[in-house]
Amino acid sequence: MSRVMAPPPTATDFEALHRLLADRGPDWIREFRAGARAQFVIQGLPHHRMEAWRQTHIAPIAGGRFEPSNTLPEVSGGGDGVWTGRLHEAPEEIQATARRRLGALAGQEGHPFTALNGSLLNEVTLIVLPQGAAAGDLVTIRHTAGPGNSLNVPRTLILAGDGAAGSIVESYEGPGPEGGSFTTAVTEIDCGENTDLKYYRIQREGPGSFHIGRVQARVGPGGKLYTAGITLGAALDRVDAGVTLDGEGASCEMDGLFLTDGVRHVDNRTRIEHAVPNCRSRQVYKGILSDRSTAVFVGRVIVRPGAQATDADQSNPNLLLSDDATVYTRPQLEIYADDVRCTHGATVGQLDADALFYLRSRGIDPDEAGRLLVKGFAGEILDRIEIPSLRTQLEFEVAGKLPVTSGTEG
Amino acid sequence: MSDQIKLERNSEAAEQLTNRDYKYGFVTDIEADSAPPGLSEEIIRFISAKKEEPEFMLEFRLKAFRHWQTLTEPDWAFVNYPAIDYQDIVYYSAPKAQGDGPQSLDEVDPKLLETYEKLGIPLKEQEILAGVVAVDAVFDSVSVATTFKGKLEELGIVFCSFSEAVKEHPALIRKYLGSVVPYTDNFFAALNAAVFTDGSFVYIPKGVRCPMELSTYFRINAANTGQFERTLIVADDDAYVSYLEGCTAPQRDENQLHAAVVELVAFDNATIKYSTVQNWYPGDENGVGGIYNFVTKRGKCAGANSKISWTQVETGSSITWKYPGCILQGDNSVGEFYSVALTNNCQQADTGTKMVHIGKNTRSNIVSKGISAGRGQNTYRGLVKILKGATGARNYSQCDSMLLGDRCGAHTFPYLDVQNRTATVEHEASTSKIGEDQIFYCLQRGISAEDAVSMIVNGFCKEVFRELPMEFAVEAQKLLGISLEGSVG
Repeated sequence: MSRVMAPPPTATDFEALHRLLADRGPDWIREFRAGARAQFVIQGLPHHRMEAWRQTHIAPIAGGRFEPSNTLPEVSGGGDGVWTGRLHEAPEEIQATARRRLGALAGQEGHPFTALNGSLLNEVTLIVLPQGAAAGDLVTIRHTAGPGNSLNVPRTLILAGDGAAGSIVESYEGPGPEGGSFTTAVTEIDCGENTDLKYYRIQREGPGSFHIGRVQARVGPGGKLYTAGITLGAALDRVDAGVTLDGEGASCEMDGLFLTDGVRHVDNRTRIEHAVPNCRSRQVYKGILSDRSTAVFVGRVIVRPGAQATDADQSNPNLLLSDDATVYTRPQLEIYADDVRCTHGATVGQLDADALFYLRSRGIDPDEAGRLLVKGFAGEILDRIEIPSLRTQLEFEVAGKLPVTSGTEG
Repeated sequence: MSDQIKLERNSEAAEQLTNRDYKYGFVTDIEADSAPPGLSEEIIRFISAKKEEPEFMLEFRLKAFRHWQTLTEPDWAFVNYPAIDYQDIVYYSAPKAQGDGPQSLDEVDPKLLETYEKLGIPLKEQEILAGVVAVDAVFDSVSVATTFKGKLEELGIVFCSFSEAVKEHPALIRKYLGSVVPYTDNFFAALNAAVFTDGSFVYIPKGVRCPMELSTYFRINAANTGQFERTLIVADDDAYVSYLEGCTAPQRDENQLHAAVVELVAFDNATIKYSTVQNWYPGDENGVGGIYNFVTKRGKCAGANSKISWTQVETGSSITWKYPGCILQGDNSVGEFYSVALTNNCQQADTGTKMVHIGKNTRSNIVSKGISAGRGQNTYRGLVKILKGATGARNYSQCDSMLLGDRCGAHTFPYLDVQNRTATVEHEASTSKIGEDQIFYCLQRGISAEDAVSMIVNGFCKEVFRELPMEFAVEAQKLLGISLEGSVG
């Protein structure tokens, strides 16, 4: 697969879209859009001379002409008392809370695409796990990008009440091999006290699509958040995932797995903020790169002044399976407290020659040996997925994406 | 120990730290032959004329100046400082010449010699000191004395001040000046290229192993004088040289900008070892005064099997902003970076390295130890870049931070760019404080808490100190000891 990212002759006129939306929907959504629009006008689209966008060139997005899509997300699952659906259809008291929380976590400053998402906001998918919602409640949200050069603006708000537990799978799909859609997605997750939430984000869009995502979460005292970001598709993918540990005893685990091939480009940015003492965070983002693809990982752990007894780990191992693939990795620590234990690490390498030899000496052919090792590498992340059907499905998809050559030579 | 007690203890320690005086704070009063403050083509022509430079040097300076005017000051580093007024800096200041300049040590201004004696480099004794160290001492901007030249000349080694080299070895200067750090490299490198006043030049001919550690003591003296040194070291095939750079500066209230450029070139099988102990005035406990140390240091391993090793101990300056790097061009070449950076009070350091792997089987090793105390902010920022042709390249980076006190910061920003799958790149970092169990262990054995902290910190830095030449290692340990007085965690 090699797709030339030539921009169509005319760029999208976002201003015209803003005007088109100006008098649609209730007051609050119009106000929300107006605020975001002002932010977007100030910031404009980013360019590669900005440090945060140096490796990820959005020229095909800036130069592309995208038409708004009207596909709606499919939401299913949920248990007793769990409210799922479109925000404006929720009962009034839920709506009031949700409106207040919308945009409170995912700040727009320094995030032009979050501002763009807000300025074009139309539908908000809302998931409310009430206090004490039982574990095992699984909610799935499926966003399908519209066909052709569609413009998609999915927005999700997840509110987990005190003591709630549950799992949410949010996936981004479409628009098929021919499409060149552009998606700017934002998900906000607000977890109260002692929550236990698992959030899986799977991006398996078509090979010609552009996906810019943002996930921003807050975890209250004693809360636990697990996130897994699995990136399988799109020509260009960038996801900024941030978690603020906002109450003592809060913890988060962030897993990531990205597979790139062809000339695809994947950019993962994480930002964990330890705002208070006694919190724990762990991140493992793994990359498998082949062909002429590129991947970027920028992970930042921030320990705020006074956030003593912080325990934070971060790692980003990468596997390069081709001579033409490039990886940029920047694991970063920013620490303003002394009683902390923080580690980070990054590695880049190819398949271990000894391990390959071991497998071959047992009669396994080189290609199969290579595949086995890569599968094992990805398995560390996939094995942690606790939903059996999802795990099996992802294992199948990952296996299908693995390059045929083992990369033994060289 | 409860958190509360710990916090109190830490702030106590920080207070004691801030109370320590800058040990080397004194000012020599010598009439300076200075240019008026400000930067313009006239000033550059003045500097060049004053130094009796050939035409090509003036051209180089002017080109750099014109380029500098098109640049804006970078702001991406993790440091804060008030805007620098480049028109308020004196770009040239030389101790007043007596006659045609000193012919021997006896003719040197006695006040200068006194300054050196206070610094612990009694020049008069240098020659008697049996050829251990040759010092090309730079006082403000003009070299006043160079020793041991004769001995080095026998081997064909050139070790002299930059101005002398411009006059006596113009061909070498022309060939290598700006070959590793071009004037277009960055804002401060361009500024340096335009206005540099002096520095050192070293050339080691083919197959020669320099028999002694070459050393230069830089010292910033006249108030408001930015020091813009230029150092160029060229090691020809199979040559070896170890170079020491050490700095202390007198106490001042005004910030002094220091934007030096160091260029190293190593050809086939050559080795250059460059060691720095930097202890410039760090400013007072409120961050007033102190040196801005914005330095560009880079070495090029141009030949096969060449090696460049940087070792630095950074305890001074209010702001340290430097990334000594290696361009590993020759096959099998090796780059090393060993660093200890200590920030105390309001000191800020954003330092690290750049390792650019171009040749096959190139290797680099990075060991960085950062210690933060008081309100100090310590940042490691390092780039490891493996280009497509660098088959079999290998890098290992280790960055450890130690925090003493709860108001300081330790940050780690590695940049790893890999374009070749046969490359192996590893980065590891950790952050910690001195363990109570470690202190307890020492106390239990009758070692005072202060000595224990000093011991533990020195142990933390051992991997770097053992790379230093012996006399520097001693000085470095002493410096850390002074910095940590009373800092019982």
